[in-house]
Amino acid sequence: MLGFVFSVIVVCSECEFKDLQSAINSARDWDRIVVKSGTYKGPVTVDRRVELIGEREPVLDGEGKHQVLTIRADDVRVEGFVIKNSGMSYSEDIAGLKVINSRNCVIKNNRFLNNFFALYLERVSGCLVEGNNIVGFAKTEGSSGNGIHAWSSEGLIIRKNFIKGHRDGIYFEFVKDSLIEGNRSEYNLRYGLHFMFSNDDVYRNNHFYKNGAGVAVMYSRNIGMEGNIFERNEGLANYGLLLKDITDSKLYKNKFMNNTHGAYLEGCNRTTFEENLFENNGWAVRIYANSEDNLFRRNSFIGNAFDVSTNTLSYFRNTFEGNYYDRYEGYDLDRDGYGDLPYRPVSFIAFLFEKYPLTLILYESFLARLLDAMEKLIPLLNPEALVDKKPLMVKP
Amino acid sequence: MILRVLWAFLLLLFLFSCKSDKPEPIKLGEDVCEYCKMVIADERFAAEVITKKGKVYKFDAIECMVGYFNENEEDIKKAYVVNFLNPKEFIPAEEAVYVRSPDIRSPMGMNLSAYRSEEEARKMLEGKQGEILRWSPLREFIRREYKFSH
Repeated sequence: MLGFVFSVIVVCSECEFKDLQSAINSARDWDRIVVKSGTYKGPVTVDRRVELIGEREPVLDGEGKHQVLTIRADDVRVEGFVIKNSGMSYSEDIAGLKVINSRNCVIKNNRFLNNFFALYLERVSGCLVEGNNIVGFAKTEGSSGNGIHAWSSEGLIIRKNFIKGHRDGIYFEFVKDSLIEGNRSEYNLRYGLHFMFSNDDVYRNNHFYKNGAGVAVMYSRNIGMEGNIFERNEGLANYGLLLKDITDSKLYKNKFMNNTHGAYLEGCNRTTFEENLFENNGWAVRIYANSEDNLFRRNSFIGNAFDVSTNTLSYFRNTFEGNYYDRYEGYDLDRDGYGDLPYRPVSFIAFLFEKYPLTLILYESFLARLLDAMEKLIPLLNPEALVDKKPLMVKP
Repeated sequence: MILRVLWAFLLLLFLFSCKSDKPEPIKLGEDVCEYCKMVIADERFAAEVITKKGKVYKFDAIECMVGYFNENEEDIKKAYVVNFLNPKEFIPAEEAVYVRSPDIRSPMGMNLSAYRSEEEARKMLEGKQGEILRWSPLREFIRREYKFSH
């Protein structure tokens, strides 16, 4: 970004420019347009390099009819606006703010309210989206676009936004080399965050709370996931994290709390889970066939109904090594920090439930406990691979 | 008396045992696609199958339902797709007319939508790229597409 500004154009009800579009039309590249508080009607299109700065939250209103603001130029900044009431169109993906074929945009400290898609980035590179507050009404209206939707883009930074009540909070499709950091995404209809066909991205220190499901990463490669919290995704078949057809990724220091399923892996390969916490989930980790060469190290499993569950006993090619399990009842005579007896994270009973879901009514029944106790003495049918030979004695 | 109770019991059993093959409404944000495990958030592309045992499976996209159908045909009693133009209405999958168009983007990227009639499908395609498909060619198309992924 070049820092100098040629001139400042002011927009207000008593100014020479009373509406934003006419101010833009008479601006030159690198001009700054300051919009005073008040309500301005959309649609507005930005076709040159300008900064749009809202003073005391001016409102851009689409009146439920059209896209509110459209950007078709590089180096555009939009800061301090309330953008609301875009129309609804399934065929055109109408948004509160849509950025098309643009580089280096900055979308900062705006409030998006009641839009179909809130912010839509299409073929965009090197954009910063920071500190925006995005609220939709998907939960009540049942149909909605995504909060921050990025398609075929790269080099995005999505930071410290709050997103609520859309279809997906943040959606990446064909987006690469991007960072998603410090956002809170809650009460969205489908996912807090959703990757499709997106490689080489990182998301860290985000909080996903009470979404349809927390995060879905699908058909993607090399995704870094660090320090996120996946919390209270409690539907019948819902997940904190759904990993489907992904490879070569890394999960580090995430927290999975109070989900029906903490993490669900299907077709997930060569992915490392390290120092994550799985607490009070129904199933902490569910690994399905065709997931191979995944490594679980130094994770903590605490208060879950089932630590690990799988649907395959014959062919299991994932490694559990040196994790902490609160259910482990072994001892450490040689004081090396690891239990001397191996731990089997998949219990026979978990496998039974996997095969015959209706038997779940027997959970915590006398019979189930009996089976559990028996299993400690005589390992029943655990896949030999599914053994943690070095369970940690204390939580890492 | 005992006989009567027995009859009532049998009648109840009978009532419970006869499963309907009517589709169930889709609960957005709660129901999960049986094939791809995605939460269903857009009912316009959704589909359902009912198995011979009376289980109802829901799908977030037509392509997922067809993928499942191709793999489990012998267990399936009935398959339904949602009418794109009237998302509360289900159409039997073999009667529907399908549109595949990059301008109508479905959750799983195959961009399929379903209609009640050829006429409605044509109208939908007006001014858009794409093609019209019937049930059998659609199954064939999905079989080819999913050959490598599943």
